[in-house]
Amino acid sequence: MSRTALGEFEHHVMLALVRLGGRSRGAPIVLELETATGRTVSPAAVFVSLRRLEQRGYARSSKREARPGEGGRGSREFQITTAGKTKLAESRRTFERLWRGADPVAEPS
Amino acid sequence: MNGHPPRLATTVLRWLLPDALRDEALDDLAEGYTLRLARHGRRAADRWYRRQVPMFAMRLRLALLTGGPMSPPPVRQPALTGSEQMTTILADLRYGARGMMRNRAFTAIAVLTLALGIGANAAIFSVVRSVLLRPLPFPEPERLVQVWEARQDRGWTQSSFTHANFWDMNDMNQSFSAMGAITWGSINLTTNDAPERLSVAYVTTGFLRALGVTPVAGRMLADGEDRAGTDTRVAVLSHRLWTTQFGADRSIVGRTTALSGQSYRVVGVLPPGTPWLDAADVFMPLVRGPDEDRDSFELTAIARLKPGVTIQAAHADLDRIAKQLASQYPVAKGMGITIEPSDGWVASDSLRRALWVLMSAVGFLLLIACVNLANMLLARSTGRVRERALRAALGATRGRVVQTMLAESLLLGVAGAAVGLVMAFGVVKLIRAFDPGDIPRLADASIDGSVLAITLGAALLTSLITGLVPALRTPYRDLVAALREGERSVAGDRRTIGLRGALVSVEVALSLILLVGAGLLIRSFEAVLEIDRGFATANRVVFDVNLPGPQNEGDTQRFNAVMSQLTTRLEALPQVEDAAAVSMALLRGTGTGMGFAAQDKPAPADNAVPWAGWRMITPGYFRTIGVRIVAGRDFTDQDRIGDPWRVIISRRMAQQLWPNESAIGRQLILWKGQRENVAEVIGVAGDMRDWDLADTPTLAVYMPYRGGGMTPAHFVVHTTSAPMALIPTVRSILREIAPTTPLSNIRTLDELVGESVAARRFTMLLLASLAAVALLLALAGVYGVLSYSVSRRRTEIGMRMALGASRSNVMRLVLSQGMRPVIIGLVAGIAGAFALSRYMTSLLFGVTPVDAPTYAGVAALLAVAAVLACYLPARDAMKVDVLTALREE
Repeated sequence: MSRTALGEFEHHVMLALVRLGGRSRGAPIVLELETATGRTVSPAAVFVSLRRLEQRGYARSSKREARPGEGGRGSREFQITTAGKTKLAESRRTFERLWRGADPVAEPS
Repeated sequence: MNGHPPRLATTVLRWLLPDALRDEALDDLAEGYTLRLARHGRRAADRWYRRQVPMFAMRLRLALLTGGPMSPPPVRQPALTGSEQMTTILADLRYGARGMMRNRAFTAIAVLTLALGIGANAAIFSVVRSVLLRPLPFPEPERLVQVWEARQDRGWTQSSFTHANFWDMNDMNQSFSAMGAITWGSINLTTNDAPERLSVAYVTTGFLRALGVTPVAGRMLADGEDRAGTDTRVAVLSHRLWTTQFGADRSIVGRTTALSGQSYRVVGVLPPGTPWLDAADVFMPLVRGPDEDRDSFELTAIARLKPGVTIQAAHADLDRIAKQLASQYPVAKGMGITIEPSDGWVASDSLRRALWVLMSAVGFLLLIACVNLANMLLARSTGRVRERALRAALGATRGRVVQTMLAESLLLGVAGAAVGLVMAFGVVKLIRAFDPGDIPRLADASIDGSVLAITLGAALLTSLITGLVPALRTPYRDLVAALREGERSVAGDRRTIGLRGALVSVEVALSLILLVGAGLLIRSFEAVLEIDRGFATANRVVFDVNLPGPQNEGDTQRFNAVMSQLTTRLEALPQVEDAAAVSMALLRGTGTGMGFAAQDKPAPADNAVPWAGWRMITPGYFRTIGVRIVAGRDFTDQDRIGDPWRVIISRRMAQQLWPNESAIGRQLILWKGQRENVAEVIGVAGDMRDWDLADTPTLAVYMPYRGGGMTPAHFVVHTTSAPMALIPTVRSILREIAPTTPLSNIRTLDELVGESVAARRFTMLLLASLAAVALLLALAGVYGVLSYSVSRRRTEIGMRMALGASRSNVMRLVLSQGMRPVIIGLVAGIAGAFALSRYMTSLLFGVTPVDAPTYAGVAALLAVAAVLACYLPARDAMKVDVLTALREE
């Protein structure tokens, strides 16, 4: 398992996955990210990122049969793994440690 | 809501995506589309979907390429990665293209504006490149120099070489690897049925060696072929003669050809090229005689510096020799040397100046086109401020917004360059068609790689600059207001109109400068044509009769017999009033000259001997060309040159020598400082500008042909009707008198006048067309800004009218607003023209660079045109319906 830290975008994608209940297809993640960050998000980037997370063991996926009304022949659904959750918690702790004592300087008044 | 993603985009995507990921990616996108459709509607969803196409294709392909079934995504940085940037640029370009297609009128005008600027630049640059910038067609041209004699004692800095001085320099110098001399003549080619007149360059063998040319066939002149006693009857053909007369036949080398009754052996063929190589039809040895003349300045000398030798060093070397010659020979007293680099060989100073003026003019035109385009983009961008505010509000960075705008102007720039190049091809063709004949290498001008590169560079730069101005004007500070009110009353709009007004001022100023330049050239052109030429041109035809140069007494007698027979036969024709011949070609700017002095006045200082042109004429020349003999008499058939010396002089010369006295019967020293023949003045003739119309009338000394051996015979015939109709008769008469003599350079005198001002007309027409285009663009700018501003102020105008403003109040309001930038531009333009027009001084004639009528006329023209451009929007403003305007608010 890679010891490298999560990239910012990967981080965002994983958080969006968690916010969507820990399991989701790519398209809702794109929307979730756009809503939360206020930026346009490239679905291609999300697509690639999810598969990259899977390679690193932070997510797993299953292919689901198409259901009427949803279009498509069955998108891939991603689910966060235990390793993923650990990694998220780890990076959250890192951030919190780093934030401690930084607030008065970093917060715009 | 249900719907399909855009089919075409899906098809394209299916085709672009890697197999392994295709279905999943399409499904992902389809779902995203459905979600967006529900939230934002079909248009937004469609647009979103299309935009993902290139993004998906590139990202996924890249991911596969960089390894593994699914390689790690690039680490996400706040800035976009290269590939993403590429993708967004593509997307922006696509977006720009769609915008262009949507607003076709705008696009057409913008592209045309740019194309005019870029096309004119490409065309003129290709001419400048061909004429001025291309290196000489000789190896190491920087080592080539031209060498002149200087005679401090006579005040000459650049004089042709005398034969003896040239040969001494040639033998004694240590600076040149080769030195050569050239002089001109002509010869009759009699191999074919019709006799043909050929121009000959007599060159020393060092001449072609100094240039370093390689023959196309055969060889150059060999060492020693310019020595008397060797076989000097050899000829090297110019490339032009070889192709036109000899069908580019290589076997011509070694054959003999009959030239002026003598047979010459063709030893080689020159390559084509300007200068020198195209200056004559045939190159023959300039033979070095045993006892050369040191007194007659005839040879043009060039040389090739030895490697490493500077011009200064060569000058010191040659000056030393000159001093030595000056002390050795009394006739070489005061001799010095002038050496100049070969830069000026192709284009004369005035041509160089004219082309740079034109180049600056097209530069100005491109600037005007840029300003105009920036103005248009600015207007449009104000109209689309809400769009940009929206994008900014959605998180687009400033860079991203700027990139989108730049992509649009880039597309415009490329389209403009494409259309401009097509135009440039046409313009270059047109310019070549209008070739005045004396612009070297103009025929070679073409749109080549470097012109293309410069054009594209100009287009990119143009679009970058013009696109940046509006792009930077996104109201980031006031997004909310921009979003709410969109294009109306946005903060900064007033500033935008101010900026656009400033741009209009710039346009007006630049086009005024161009108009002043064109105006000055037009006035110069008129002045040249209107000047008192001194001679009459109507119903006069000129032609050259190319009699062989008399070699001995018998030839001379035959020459004179043919001359007088031809004149008599011509004058006997009912449609001919007079006929005569002169030894100097009219209006060619070349001719023979001599120093002179009055014998009964104090001799002028050696370095201040005045100079006069001399010509030989047949009796009746003045009558034929319409010049009055103001005192004394014309020559008669009894006058013979040098037997005794009798001359007719021009009026200015007479006044200069004997002011307020009669010149008749006075003694005049001819060839002062050289042969010093003393002649009696028997007549004074009216002044003529027969050298160059734009020159002061020449001081002229006329002598009779009879008794002399002067070869060139330029006939002038004054007819009662259409002069050209006479030519067949002339031919048949000449065939009877002198069967092998060709007739050449047949023109009416009016045509000759036209030709002599052709270069002037060429520059004038080009600059005038450029100025006209500039004026149009500037007017479009004035109109555009004002009509936009009027449309924005409809409500205000409506209110004013509701409160009692009259139509003329409104008119005045609008006009004053529209004319303000114009007037500022006029003032700036006049100042600019004042500063710049002095660079044109050498191109002007009869006007000064600060000619007040030209400035006033041009400014008035521009002002009137601008008022007209303002009138249309003003009329619209007056038509504002009070109620409608108020309701809009």
